[in-house]
Formats: sequence, C-alpha cells, structure tokens
Amino acid sequence: MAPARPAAQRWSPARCQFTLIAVTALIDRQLSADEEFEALALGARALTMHELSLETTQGWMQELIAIRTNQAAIWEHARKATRDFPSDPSMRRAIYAHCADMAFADRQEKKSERRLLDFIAKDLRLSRADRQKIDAVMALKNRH
Amino acid sequence: MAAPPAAAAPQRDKFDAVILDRHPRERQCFRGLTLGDAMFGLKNALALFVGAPAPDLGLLGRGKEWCVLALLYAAARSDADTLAPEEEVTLAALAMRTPTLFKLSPELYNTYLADYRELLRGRNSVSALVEAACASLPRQDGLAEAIFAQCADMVMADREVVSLEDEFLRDLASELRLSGSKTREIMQVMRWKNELREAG
Repeated sequence: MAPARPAAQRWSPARCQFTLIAVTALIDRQLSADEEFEALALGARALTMHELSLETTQGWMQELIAIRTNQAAIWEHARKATRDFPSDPSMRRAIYAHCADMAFADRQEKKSERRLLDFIAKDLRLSRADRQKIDAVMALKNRH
Repeated sequence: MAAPPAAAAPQRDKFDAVILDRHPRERQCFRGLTLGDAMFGLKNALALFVGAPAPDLGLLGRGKEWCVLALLYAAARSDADTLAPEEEVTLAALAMRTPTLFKLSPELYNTYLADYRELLRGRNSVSALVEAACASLPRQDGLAEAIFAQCADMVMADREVVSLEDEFLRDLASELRLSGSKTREIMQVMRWKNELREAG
C-alpha cells in the first residue's frame, strides 16, 4: 500500500467508503438504478455517512459517473480511497462486505467486479479467512 | 404505494428525485410515481396509470414472493409498529434487487404489504407473519439461508440491534430450521458489514 498523504489532502472516511461502494457499482461501466439506489441507501444508513447531505453523496457520485468510461481514472479513485481508508480493521472488513454485497446488486457478479474486490481486499489487508467468510455469506444472501 | 411513516417520506422523496434524475428513461416513464413504483419497470408502472385493479390474494395464493417479502417486512417491523426511515429504504432496496423479488409488480408489492399489515393488526409481535410465511415457504436449496441473511441485514440497517430484533432473528432461524453454525456464520458477517462508523 502506498504511504498515506498529508492530512489536508486525505479523503474523509465517509468519502473513502462511498467511493469504494460507488466504484464497485460503476466498475462494469454501467450504473443500474438498482446499484445507484443501493449506494445511496447505504449512504443514508451507514453510521459514517448518514449525516451527510444527499447533495454531498450525489456530488461524489456525479464525479464518478463523469469518469465511468475511463477505467484508469476509476481505478485511481479506488486507489485513493483505499490509501486514505481508516486503519481500523473492523471498518475495513465492513467496507469490503458492503462492496461484495454491491457487486451482486444487479444480480450478477462480473469479472471486473471480482477484480476490484480482489484489489480492495488486498489493499485493505483483509485476512484470507475473513474475506472467505464474507464472500460466502454475500453469495448465499444474493442467491435467491 | 401505501403511505410511509411521516419521517420516512422526505427521505424517500429525495431518493426518488435522484434516481429519476439519473435515469431519464425512467423519469419519463415514471413521472409522478414514487420510487416504490419506479423500481418495478415500465410495464408495471403503466398499469398504475391505467388503473389496473389490485391483484386478489385469494386467487394468487401465498407463493414464494409473498413469503420472502413477508419475512423482510417482519424483520423491518420487528422492533416497532412502524418502519424506521433506514429500514424503509433498505426494504425497498432489497425488494428492488433480490432475484426473488425484483420482478414483483408494484400492484402486488402494495397488495402484499397491505396483507401483512392486516395480518398484524392488533398484534404486538410479528410472529404470526413469520409463522405464516415459513409455513408456506417453498423448500428450495439455499432459500432459507438467503432469506435469513437478508433479514439480518435488514434488522441491522438502523445500526443497532435491540433485544426484540435479536429475539426475532433467533425465532426466525428456528422457524427456517437453520443450523446453529450457519446462523452464527451469517450473523457474524452481517454484524461485520454493519460496523461502519466514524474513523477510530
């Protein structure tokens, strides 16, 4: 993982979380209404994000939508988000679980989404055991 | 869609505005309808415009969709008589995306919710709805586990699990005949998932 940037340049935890979830939704270059609703619904209920205004999360979403066909730019956002992500292991596990769930939000997990999940798990240093448990339950949850 | 709790309405209106703004095809089709209507597709939404009658549950029976939505609804209502805004949003998000429910028409969605409310009228727990749904739930591979995971996620949507919700999940696992190890595995991951908080 790259060294952390100066505090003034770092993204807030909320922005890191929202970005990772939104990038997971956008990585296949399409944003379905299901995925966008899921991302915004999460923004409304996650403890870190629920006090943000919808305008704020919408602004972040707009920024990502504007670059959705530019894979290099999308991946750069993902890298920034993991680089600035809080070091708290439980928050890292939580965001991975949300992204894994998001990858199934349109009822199919694509290769690009799997690659992104691999990257997030590795960059956030998730243990293999935790990741396997999360993947298994999210696959099970989204089966029916 | 039936009137939501007052606190939830502004939030849902905001979501409606965002989703419809971002998806112009839907905006054109669904203008004037709520998110609950918009999420089910053009064909079904148009049926609302022309005044399609509410489906008759007596004719339709209580199939898989009825059972799955019933359990999600019961999870959302397990701690109170009304839904928290987060729970309403999560219920709508789940109904929009799960393989079992995403093709459910808005008329049927509304009819089912009305049926659940009627079934729970005058009762102080959701156990009657859980029992009715579990009794009619088809025996399909992985279905009980999927529903339990969705319900656990729903219960944790408002960021805390009160004792009533904890009791609900224990009873649900029992009604769905889940093994203790599978229940613990699902609960553990759903707790992890809902642990997002301010930076520590």
